[in-house]
Amino acid sequence: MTIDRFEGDYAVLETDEGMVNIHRAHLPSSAREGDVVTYSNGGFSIDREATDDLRAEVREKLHRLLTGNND
Amino acid sequence: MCFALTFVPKQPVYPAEGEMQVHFIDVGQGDCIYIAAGTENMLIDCGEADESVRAVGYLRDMGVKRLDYVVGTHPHSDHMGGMDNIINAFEIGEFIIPHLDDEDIPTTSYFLRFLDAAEKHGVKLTEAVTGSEFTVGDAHCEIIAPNSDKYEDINNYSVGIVVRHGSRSFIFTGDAEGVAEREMIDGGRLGRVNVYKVGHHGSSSSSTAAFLGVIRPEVAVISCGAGNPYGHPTDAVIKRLSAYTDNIYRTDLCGNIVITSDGSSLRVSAERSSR
Repeated sequence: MTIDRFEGDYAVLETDEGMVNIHRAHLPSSAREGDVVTYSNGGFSIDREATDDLRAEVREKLHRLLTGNND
Repeated sequence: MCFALTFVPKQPVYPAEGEMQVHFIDVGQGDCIYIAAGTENMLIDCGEADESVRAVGYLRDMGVKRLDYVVGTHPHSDHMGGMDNIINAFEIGEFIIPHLDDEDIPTTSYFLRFLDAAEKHGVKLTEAVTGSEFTVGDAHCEIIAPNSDKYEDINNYSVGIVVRHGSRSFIFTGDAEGVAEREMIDGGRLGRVNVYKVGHHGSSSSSTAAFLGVIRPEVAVISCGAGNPYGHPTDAVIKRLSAYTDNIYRTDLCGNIVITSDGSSLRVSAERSSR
């Protein structure tokens, strides 16, 4: 699951079942938009490694598409 | 006896000569705005993935086959969740997104699907350049935001656009919040506008008193979903808007809203009458 955004007291998560609202208080206070989170043992935690890997993949693709248009 | 069947290809429905149409397409809790003038057009945002299917249908029903400009104001699902559907459905001239700091590059599946669709169809993807100008038919568009390279909140990266048609003007600010509104004011590109697409669906984090004091809108349009859990639009924003106008139209109440400019006056039509 990925945190798409925060809306007031809610966090909006992108999940396999679609977009889901949860109360922001259920997430670690350090959670940021774009963080990959996992749910286990009744709580959410941030998967930093998965977040960094995914971000690197998207960044590479985005930069390649943007650069390609400046040729 | 037999009848000859003649298949007449559907022709795109362009606005009447000298007119510009701005369609606030009802995509529930999200934004989707279609602007057409002359034989050119622009789409700003598309709503969630499932809602974007409705937007595709709406545009196809008008005969739209090509979008000269598509703007993804910022990477949140209620604005860009279905951009892969848009790219797959229409020929696209140029796709504009904001510059994002490397630390704020999205990690969502819908954003990856958007990039994959752009790559597959060879869509020209560019970053918004604040201060740059372009035309859509006889409408003049100016990018007024973002004004910084890095923000704490993704909403503030929103691409802001002022569209001028004759003496009439519209402003679209995505989900820009107070920080970005202040930058737009300080950027000196703002003045009074006729129509304000209310920032962030009427959240109290946007439409600050200072911002409204500069743009002083005659008409406000709020794009939001009925019974959304976020309380959009907030009473605070409705109150702030009402200092300038009582002409507040909401997609959750009115459905699709179309504002037509002839360059000197505006006509508003809506799917449902209640504001």
